[in-house]
Amino acid sequence: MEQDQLLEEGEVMLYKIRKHWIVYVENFFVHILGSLLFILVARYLSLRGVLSFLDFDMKAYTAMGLVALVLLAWVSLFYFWTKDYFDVWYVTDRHIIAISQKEMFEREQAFMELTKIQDVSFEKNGFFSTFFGYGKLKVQTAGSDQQFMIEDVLDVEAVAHKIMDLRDKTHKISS
Amino acid sequence: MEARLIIFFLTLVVYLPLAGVLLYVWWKHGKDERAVTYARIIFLIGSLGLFAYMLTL
Repeated sequence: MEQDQLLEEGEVMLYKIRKHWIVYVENFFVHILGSLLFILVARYLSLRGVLSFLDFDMKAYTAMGLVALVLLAWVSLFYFWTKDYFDVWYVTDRHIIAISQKEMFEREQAFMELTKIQDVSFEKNGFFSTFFGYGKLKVQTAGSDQQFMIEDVLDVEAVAHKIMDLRDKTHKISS
Repeated sequence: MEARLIIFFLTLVVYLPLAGVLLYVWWKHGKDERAVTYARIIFLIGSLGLFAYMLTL
């Protein structure tokens, strides 16, 4: 697996932090509803006598063009899924490895030592965020302005507490 | 050449590089990830279905 290559010798992967499933659902519905609209219009144009000034072939071409747009929406759905899914944090017994998939060919990796974590905070904004328990997670390091941030984290409160506990444990071991 | 074929091949020409990029990123960063495997299967079957549907119009 990819994360195995990121680990140092003897380093143990503890868990992954990913985005909440609602992000994917929202993305899915936006694309599917848009596509369904195109398909329905395409079907309507193809089967009914709408746009009577166009001959049969022209209607079929229009319908094909609409299905082509659906195909683009289909690719777009997976493009956004990829961006969300590959935004991930790997928490190990030594580091947090933050991977941010900004674009298909733009990917950032950052490493933060657990012992250098100064502050962990989270934000839940809005009804859905509070109800489903997802939100923005921020981790600040000591002695630098570096801040890690990931949006729409699944069970953000528990994750923030886990990271703080892990940091405390690491401090105890190292001192 | 029939216009339907031209539309079909134009769509294919736009689709292939975009799909190629997605498949490459999944292969590069999502090896052995179950979610990526499912995504790949759903994506390819859906694409195939849509192209087949295009040909029936």
